[in-house]
Formats: sequence, structure tokens, C-alpha cells
Amino acid sequence: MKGWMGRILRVDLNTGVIKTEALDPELAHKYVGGRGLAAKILYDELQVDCDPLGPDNMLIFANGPLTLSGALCSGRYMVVTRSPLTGTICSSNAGGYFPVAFKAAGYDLIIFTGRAEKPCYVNIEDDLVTLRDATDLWGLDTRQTTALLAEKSHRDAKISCIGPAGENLVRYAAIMNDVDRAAARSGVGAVMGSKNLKAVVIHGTKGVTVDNPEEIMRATIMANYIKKTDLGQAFGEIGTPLFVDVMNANNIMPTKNFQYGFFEDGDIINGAEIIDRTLVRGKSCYGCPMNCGRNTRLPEDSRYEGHGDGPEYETCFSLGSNILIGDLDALTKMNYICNEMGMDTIDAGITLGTIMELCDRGLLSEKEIGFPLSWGDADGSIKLLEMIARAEGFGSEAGQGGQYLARKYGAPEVFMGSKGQGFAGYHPRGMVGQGLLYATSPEGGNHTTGNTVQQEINGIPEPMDPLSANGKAKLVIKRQDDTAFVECCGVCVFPYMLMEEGASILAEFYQAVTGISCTEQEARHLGERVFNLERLFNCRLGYNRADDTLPPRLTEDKHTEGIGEGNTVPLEEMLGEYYQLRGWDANGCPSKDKLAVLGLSP
Amino acid sequence: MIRVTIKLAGPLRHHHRKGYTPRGEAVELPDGVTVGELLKVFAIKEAHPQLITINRQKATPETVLTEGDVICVIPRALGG
Repeated sequence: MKGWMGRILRVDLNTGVIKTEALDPELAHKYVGGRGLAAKILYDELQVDCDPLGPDNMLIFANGPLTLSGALCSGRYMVVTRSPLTGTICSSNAGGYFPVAFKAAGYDLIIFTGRAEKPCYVNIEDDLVTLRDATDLWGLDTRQTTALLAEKSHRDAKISCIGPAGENLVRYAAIMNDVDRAAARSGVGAVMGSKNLKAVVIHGTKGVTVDNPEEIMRATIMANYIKKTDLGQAFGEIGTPLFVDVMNANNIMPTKNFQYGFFEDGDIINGAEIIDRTLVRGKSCYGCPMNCGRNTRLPEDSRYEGHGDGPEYETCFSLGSNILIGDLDALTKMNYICNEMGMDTIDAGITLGTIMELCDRGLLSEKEIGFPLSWGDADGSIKLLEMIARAEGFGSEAGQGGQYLARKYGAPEVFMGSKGQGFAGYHPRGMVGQGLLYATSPEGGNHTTGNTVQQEINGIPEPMDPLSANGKAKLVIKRQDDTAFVECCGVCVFPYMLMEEGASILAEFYQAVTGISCTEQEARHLGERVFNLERLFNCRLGYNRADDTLPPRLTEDKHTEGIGEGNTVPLEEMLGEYYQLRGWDANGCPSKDKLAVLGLSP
Repeated sequence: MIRVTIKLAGPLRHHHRKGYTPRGEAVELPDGVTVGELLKVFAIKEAHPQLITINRQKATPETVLTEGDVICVIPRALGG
């Protein structure tokens, strides 16, 4: 098998038994790798009604056939499990250098099962895999953990770990790798914490065999090309915080818990401000020429101290506009806290927004939280984030997530998310396709299972009315299936999902690496299979149309002043067409015929 | 003469002149000036912007500016 390492590592934390097994080539060809292969294993092996935070849940680290291959931006891995935040299958992914070390150690997947008796970490040096005691690391933040493990490990070892949030089972805890990269969404860090698994340390020395090295060399040419495109130049200079300006101008930057689409202080938490005030340097993941990462340091005149990575656009929204914090230093400090504690900045911000609105409505009091917390309160937010990660006082409740809080305090409509996961930073009232995408994502309000910004907002490849339902079901399906294929391959979505010709380039790379003939349409078909398998997983758990929802703030309340004023998300209209085009029944479950076409029949 | 504020987002910020703040740059222009003519002042090609807004509503290069307008120019860079 070219592209794949051909091996799966299984670590049973109940017994400490570690074994390696061969990857079935047929399975690899059918489900590709990463998100797809891991979903297949989870579907086949996971006890249907397992507790996401119990020992029966499986935690799967998965790279893809293109990871480490030399293909453009091929430094990503996926973490696949049953989410403690949504209850559904989830795939959280991260870039950096840990993913390539993982593959270089000779494994396509690492499957963790069970629960260790005491805190441990896994040390992998190619074929030598050991479970080690992590009692001394328990309680340390991700930066401290990484530093201590780096001292004990091979100098080229790469590390992923959880922080206190994962240990304390915060339902939106992240797994951090390479210090500041995050498999952030869906609470994968809590699953790792529930297994008493503090870290995974990997040193790998192997390479990937590719079918057509000359074709892979095109990646180098592509790299130079991408650097000259609008996308490459903007990302290199400004990174994802560029989108603060884009979203704000388009009236789709979610503000005050999605009450508005425009943030007055957007100008002072944007990419330009980061460059002028906090940026140390841009950072790249493996194999990427774009440098979109932001390594930053709070300046001497700041009220806060710290250094690290971020904020990315999503954090500018979630911990900025969403809770009315127009203070770059405070926002950056909160980002550092989330990284160090190992917590998803998006759901942290969504949870804070939920709390602030509950307080605003008089449904949650200062007495319950322990201190007053209102919109724009940076110091109160910082204090609460630390309490959440440490499960202290009200922080323990807030660690259950926004949906839990909104339901408990009598206003479920206040939670801005779907299937329990908070929305990312694109206001669906101003781009309704994104609303359909959130509602139908296997893991709820997640932007990493697809994104319609390129078509709805940028009008690429051709203009599209972002406020109309017309054509959105078809668009969302295409974006979801293409994204699934990207996340099977173990590459970054940015070049392949944002460049106009990205999907066809990825299919070419897949063919060059694996030697398997693949057109853009065939790649989309592979992604469709994986997306449907995830849907089957959720249907088996009882999820259906009743869960493909958006809060009434998006479907009933009219969009506020600016572009798209007065608009709502016509979800029901889009959903019917979406199911029909997907080949799903009226209840949102894949039909027998569809499963047969996709090779997923029981 | 009219006085307007222009904000050039993302990579376009390099087209700003002295006196620029994060909140934008104040510009004095003759009456009747259009958005297109304003872009020329800042050496921005009309084909480049993805979106131009005036007071948070979509505008075109032909739109005539009026006193107090806030113009925002967003470059054509792919979102995500």
C-alpha cells in the first residue's frame, strides 16, 4: 500500500496490552484514512450506548494517506470518538508537526480503549511503545506538560497532551499538540482525560512510500503559486484574523451571542491590530507555505502577561464579538488560558455568551456564579475560564457547556449551537447555507465539517445570494462531502477547500500518493460515503430530523441593521431539499438505495 | 468639500496614508465624488475589492459619497 503505513496500533488502557495489527487494504481504499477510516472502526466496534466519558468509548488518533507524503499542507491528524458534548460521532483535527511524527512512527491509526488505573502517557519510538506513569504531570497545564515531557523524551519527539480541562472532563476540552495547536472541538480532550491518558509522545523515523514522486514534487511548485494568490498573501501576512474585517463588513460576525452580525469594536480586534500590537511571527504547519498561524506576545504596556499562539479568527469571534470584548489584550489572554488549560475557544466563548445572556435575563445570578458577570467583562471572563478548566465552583457547571446551562436555567433558546455544540463565527442569518450546514453536520455547530463562505460571501466560483435558500442544499452537500475527503486524506482544508481548483488538485495528489486512480468526482464520492457512515452512526443512536435544528434566534428573529437586514434562515425549506438530494428519508436517515450506492448496506 | 472616513481592510491597509488609525482614515473630497474615484486616490484597482460598504450597506464604484460616510473596502481574499 502506497501512502498508508499499513499498521494500526491498539492501546488497551484497562490492561496495558499494546498490540499492532495490519491495516486491511480494502478498508483503506474504501474509507481512505483519517476521519473515514476511524469512523468505520468506531461504527463497527463501539458499543452503541457507551458513555462518551466511560471506559467503553474509543479514542482514535488518525492520520491520512497524504499525511507526511510531501503533498501540499499534509501535516494534519484527526481525533475521532463519540463526543461527550454532542453524544454523536465527532472528528476533531489539528495541524502542526505531531501528525507527521505520528505517521513517521509507522502507524495510520492509534486506537485507545479502556481506562488506565492511574494517570499515564504513551511513549512511542517507532515500534517501541510503552505506557508510562504520568502522576507527576496530572494537574499541569499543556505548556508545562509539553516542556517536562520534552526533557524526558527524544529531542525530536512531538507531543500531544491534555490540560486541566481534559482531566476535569470539561465537555469542550481540547487535545493540544506542538504546544499551541488544538484538536479543539467536540470535547475530545475530555475523552482523553476520562481514560487517564495525559499525553502521547511520538518520535518517528520512517517515511511514506508514494506512487509518483514526480507528481508530488508539484507540491513545491504549487507552494510557490499559492504564496502569490490573494489567499496565500492574505494568510501569510494576516492569518485567519483577516476574516474579522470580512465578516464584520458582511454583517455576519456573530455578536452578543448571535443577536447581531456586526461588532463595533471589530476594528480593534482584527488582523491588522494583531500585527501592530502582539504578533511575534507567523507560523506554519508541516508542508505549508502560507504561515497562517499567529505566534504572539502581550506587550509590556498590557494589563495582562503571556505568550503563545493566537487568536485565530474563530477566537476573535467567540471570545471577542460574541461576548462584546473589544480588547485585543484580554482576548489574547483568554486564548492563552484556553490553550494552556486545553479548552476549545469556540465553545468556551459560546458558554460565556450563554451565561451572560442568562444573567442579562435575570435567570442566572451573581450568587450562583460567585461574582457578577456581564457583557464585555474581560476580567470576569478570565476568572470564569480558569474556574471552568479547574472545575471550581460554578466553573464545574459551566464546563458542561452552553446547552446544559441554557436548559438548566430555563431558556434553552439562548444556546447558540446545534446538537449541543456551539456555532463557529459565521452568522447564518446572513449566509443561510451555513445554517443548513450547521444543522446537518454530524457533530452540530461545527465549521470544520464544511464551510460555505467561499461561495456565499466571496462569490467563488460565481456570485450566489447568501440570503436565499436557492441552491444551498446542493452547495452544502458538496462542501460537506469535499471536506470529508480532505479530512480523510490528512491534509489542511485551507488550500483544498478555499482555492477554486482545490478539490481537483487534492484528487490528483491522492492518486499520485496512493497510485489509485481518482478524479474530483470519485474523491467526492469517497467523502460522501464517509459522511453517510457518520450519519448512520448517529441514526443508530436515535438522532434524526428532530436534531437537525437551529435556535429560533436564527430561524425566527430577523437579522439586524446592515447587509441582510430582516433575513431569517429558512431551515425547513432547505432541509427537505437537502434530505432529498442526499437520498435520505423524511426523517433524515439514509435510504436503503443510497446505502447500496455507497457500498454501506448492512 | 465633504469629509468621509475610509477603512481599508486586510492587505489593503498598506494603501492607507499617514494619520490612519484602526478606526479608519479621514479624507476630504470634493462634492460629488464617487466610490470609484476615492479608490483611485488610494491606488486601489476597482477589480480588487470583494466588497465595498458605505455606512454598512453595499455600495458600487458608481455610488456618490456624501458628508460623514464611512466607507469600508474588503479585499478579494477567500474566506474560511
